[in-house]
Amino acid sequence: MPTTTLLVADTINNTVTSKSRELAGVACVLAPDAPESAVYVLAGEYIVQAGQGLCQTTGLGAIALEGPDFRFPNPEALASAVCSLPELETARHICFLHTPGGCQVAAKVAVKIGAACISAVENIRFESDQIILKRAFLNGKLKMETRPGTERVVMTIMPGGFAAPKSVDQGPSEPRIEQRQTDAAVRDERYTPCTLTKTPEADTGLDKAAIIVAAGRGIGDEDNIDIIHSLARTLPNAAVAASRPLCDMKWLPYAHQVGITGKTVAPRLYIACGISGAQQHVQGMKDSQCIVAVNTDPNAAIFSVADYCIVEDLTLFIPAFIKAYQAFLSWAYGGGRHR
Amino acid sequence: MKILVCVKQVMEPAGDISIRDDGKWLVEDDALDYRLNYYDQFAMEQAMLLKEAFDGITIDAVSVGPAGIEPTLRHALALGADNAIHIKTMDNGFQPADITGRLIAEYVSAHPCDMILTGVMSEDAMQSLTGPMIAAHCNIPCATAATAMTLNPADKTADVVCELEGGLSEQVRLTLPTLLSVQSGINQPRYASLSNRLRAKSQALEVIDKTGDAQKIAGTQETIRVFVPGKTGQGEFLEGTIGEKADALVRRLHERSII
Ligand SMILES: Cc1cc2nc3c(=O)[nH]c(=O)nc-3n(C[C@H](O)[C@H](O)[C@H](O)COP(=O)(O)OP(=O)(O)OC[C@H]3O[C@@H](n4cnc5c(N)ncnc54)[C@H](O)[C@@H]3O)c2cc1C
Ligand SMILES: Nc1ncnc2c1ncn2[C@@H]1O[C@H](COP(=O)(O)O)[C@@H](O)[C@H]1O
Repeated sequence: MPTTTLLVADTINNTVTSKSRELAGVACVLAPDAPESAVYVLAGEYIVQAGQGLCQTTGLGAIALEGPDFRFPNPEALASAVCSLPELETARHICFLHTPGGCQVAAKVAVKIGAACISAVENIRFESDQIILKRAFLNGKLKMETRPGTERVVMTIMPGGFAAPKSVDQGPSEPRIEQRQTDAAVRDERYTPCTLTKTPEADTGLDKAAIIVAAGRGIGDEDNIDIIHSLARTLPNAAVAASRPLCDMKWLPYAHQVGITGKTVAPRLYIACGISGAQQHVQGMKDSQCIVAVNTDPNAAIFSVADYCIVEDLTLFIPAFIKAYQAFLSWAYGGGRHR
Repeated sequence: MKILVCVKQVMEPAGDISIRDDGKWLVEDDALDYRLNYYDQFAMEQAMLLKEAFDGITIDAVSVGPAGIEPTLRHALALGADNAIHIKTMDNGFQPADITGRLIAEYVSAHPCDMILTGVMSEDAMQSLTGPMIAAHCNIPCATAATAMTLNPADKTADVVCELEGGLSEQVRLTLPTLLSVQSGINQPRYASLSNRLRAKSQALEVIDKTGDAQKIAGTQETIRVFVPGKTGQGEFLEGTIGEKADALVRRLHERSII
């Protein structure tokens, strides 16, 4: 059976990122009856072993591109390598993960083969055989449906929308991984990855906190961060977090940032104050046991992941909530306890 | 040396929006607030930092869109751009990265530059594609989500730190001409100076009219509809006065043994 879907995994340090498994969920939608028509593509200096694990957990086959050029993530070389895959000839859907690097490879491949390129895809459906892609815009507040106008489609997949298959039907034969050596032809001499570094973790108390109070750009003014701190001081075992723009403005250190480029947290209670709910933030907190969102915009995307939704100005609501909580404490504990 | 900064005017995402009758885009009228894309402020500032660090750098700001985007180009001038180029298109809804990328690449092939800076993402369209698309069409190398950079004019290279996920960063060396998509936090954007603000008011914009080219720039995708996603149903919207909502929330959290 010819390959009709290429799933280009995200690899780093010769491992496959866990989100890459979700691409198998995309394959389930694209070709529910013919999983063998979808193959993973992985690149690394030595990536076969990691690829075998991916094949086993997803039941899909894989092409392992190995070579010294893939020691560090190299989107330029990866794009060239994907463009020279013989499987690309028959591929109708070429899928990447939605990361800045994934978008870079996607754009280059799409331009090379003259295909439509649609990014941050959350959902795929078919309408009389035509593929229709759903994606979010305006910080997740609205969605759009797009129909690609080309036979072949390049897309980047927003993690979270496509569950990786749980149990895998191995079929008559085990999925195969095929090792291919890449040569210097994939290299772009104008783009040279040099090193990979990891930011050391700072202790922010976020890992241990039962409750996280998170501030977003909706707090409006730097002074209003005090409201967030006072709520965290009032609640038992609570710590303060923030969205990225707040850290950009240095209202809180980056170590407190929650999201795909910050920390991933899952406290018992996450109170999102003035946070719009962009996927890049939501992915870092969506597994919290209970989510409360305070936002003036009733259509804010954060409400779609919240258990309790409060459409209010946070500068008014949070003091009211602190007051209500303190009244509750003195009722419940006869005024004897302050925490 | 010339730096081209791609700036986009975006709708204020938290503003009131309504969907056009044909369902394919939003009503764009005076009720909407527009501003410079968040990430493009950092791209503009990065160009200014380079201009201050090295002699002989000029900064051009370019934007693709209908007549209404002029204020954003003037804002780029106020932030320090030497020239502003308006690639004027028809106002017909969502404009995919493919089209914007082709139009900017076409401009660049006629007006070469040494470095192109874009934001990592636009707040309204959220594609993260336009920068890489321009680079692909121009056939120049590209680095995404730059959180730090140094320019080495002597050997025409730039060292860039690209942010990956999970606290990882990758250092990359690029040969000019190149394109960088700039991540927020790379610098602290400044306010517009008074003298630049005055200049921005009167300086002529360079206009490249593409409004007649609708056919030629037809894209490879079609927007079928835009919509407000339905409530998923799991979340409860608390009702009442502010005090009632606060009490209700305390009660709910207590019932769930969270507080
Ligand atoms: C590659 C990449 C990585 C990223 N990584 C991260 C990440 O790790 N973490 C992260 O957070 N972001 C990240 N982002 C940014 C992300 O896309 C969003 O831009 C960001 O999360 C928005 O932050 P915000 O919600 O605080 O601000 P905004 O989107 O501006 O939202 C502010 C909200 O506050 C509301 N509001 C305004 N006034 C009030 C008031 N008085 N009371 C109550 N509500 C009010 C508004 O209605 C609005 O919904 C990343 C982006 C990119 C491109
Ligand atoms: N219409 C436009 N005009 C100029 N630059 C744009 C335009 N659209 C996008 N860009 C640039 O591309 C970046 C990424 O946008 P996007 O691909 O829409 O997420 C923005 O931060 C801008 O720098």
